[in-house]
Amino acid sequence: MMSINDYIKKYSHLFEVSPTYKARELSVKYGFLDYMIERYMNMFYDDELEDFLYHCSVPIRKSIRCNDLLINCNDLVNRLEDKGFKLEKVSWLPHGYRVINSPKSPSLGATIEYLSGYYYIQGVASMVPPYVLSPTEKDIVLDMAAAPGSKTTQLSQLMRNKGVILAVEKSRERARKLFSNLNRMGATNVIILRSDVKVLSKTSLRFTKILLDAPCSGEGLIPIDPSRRTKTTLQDLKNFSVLQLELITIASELLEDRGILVYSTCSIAPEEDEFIVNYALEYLGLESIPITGYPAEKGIEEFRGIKFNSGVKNCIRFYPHKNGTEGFFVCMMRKHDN
Amino acid sequence: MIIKEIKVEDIRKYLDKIFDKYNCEKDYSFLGNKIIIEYDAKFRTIEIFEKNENANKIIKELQRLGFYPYSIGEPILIIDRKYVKPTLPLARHLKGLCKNILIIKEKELAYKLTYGKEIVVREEIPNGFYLAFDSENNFLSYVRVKREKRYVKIIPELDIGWYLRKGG
Repeated sequence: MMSINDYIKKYSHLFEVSPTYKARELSVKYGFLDYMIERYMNMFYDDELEDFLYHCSVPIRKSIRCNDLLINCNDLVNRLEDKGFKLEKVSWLPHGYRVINSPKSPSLGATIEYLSGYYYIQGVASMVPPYVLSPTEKDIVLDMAAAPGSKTTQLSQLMRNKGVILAVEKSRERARKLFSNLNRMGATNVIILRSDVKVLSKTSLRFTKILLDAPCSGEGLIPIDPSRRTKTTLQDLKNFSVLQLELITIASELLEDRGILVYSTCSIAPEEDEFIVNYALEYLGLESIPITGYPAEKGIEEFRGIKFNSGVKNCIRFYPHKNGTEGFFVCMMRKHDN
Repeated sequence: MIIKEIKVEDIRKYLDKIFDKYNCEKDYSFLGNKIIIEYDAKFRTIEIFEKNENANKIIKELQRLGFYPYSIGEPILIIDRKYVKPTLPLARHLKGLCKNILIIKEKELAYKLTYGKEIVVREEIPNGFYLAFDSENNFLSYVRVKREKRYVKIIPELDIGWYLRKGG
């Protein structure tokens, strides 16, 4: 197996970018860091590149996930419409609704229905990983970076509060938020461990299903948070990649044979997505599984001269300009029998 | 911090205080098929989790290596030397059991309670402790009712707005 250090060294040129004149020009026009544009030029054709950059300035409609642990979704829609909200069902998500109109008051995050845990404010693409993982009450599920709890509470919902989820969060402040959201949403089958997930490597615990919604640069959230156009330096990006490689290595160790791992990020950076999955497919004994049923693009097989394992094409990508969602990446993998 | 599994009998006297406070039927059936966990730190917290072999395995394995979960399942009670407090999730279990129920019909007043603010109504309500709901049967708050000469004060003790203000 290749060590993470060696892997990063082997592909070190991924983290060295010399922006061209065109990239610098576009970076001024759209307010991005120039190295980001240079990388986008490797991901999109000319027309599509500007389409993508333009759509990063178009706000994305808010969306909610109905929590049918606590309320019938039709009742929730009626209640919110009585308050002046207009909702539109997302056809490809069982519990997802886009918010088409909102009243002046109350705000979406302060209604009695929200405080009662009847819904979670969550991006539509961000609802995809738990559906892909599709846990049942028989599963022992690990949520490796759980706070603030959008996906943990969704996993509980899908499991109908049966079975068990171990939700790990390192930060005290974020663990508190996770705890609060679990209580609000009525998620009762969760054990929270406030610790570095690395400690689990010392245990004999093995999981049938793991969700690794990895800490990332948030490069997919630019339409929601414009500050991210200039927030992440190339060194930050490299640091995220190293952390993600460490986490996916731990995930592969903690997975039972034939167990399922869903890896996701709210980033469109191949350095945080296919580059990480490639390592898992090449060196960690995982194989990718196709994901179907979502209006999304295939994983990128080649980026800046690197040809990834062909299994990355089974991963899916969401883009604001193509899918009307936040930028997001999801990949499902299975551990080989030992 | 000490975490240990306890029995229904061990928390009955604490639950009874809550049942008495809100005039509830003493029905412990929501604890059936649950592991009951006591956390003993600055104050004691009681949490419940549906019985599950895998959950037991996880808890034991973590404890074997000296790791203690931040939380296990659903918190229902906070116990100090001086008081026993219900948690917000406990209200879901108390909903059908208690007689001291207030329905806050006016939407503005219901919202005000969720901001942690006291409200005033001109109704005949005896002093005491109540569970307040809105007209759509959503739990709003644990409240204390205090009668004044011409009106009644409804004072929130723990309301669902806590999730926004303190929970994060």
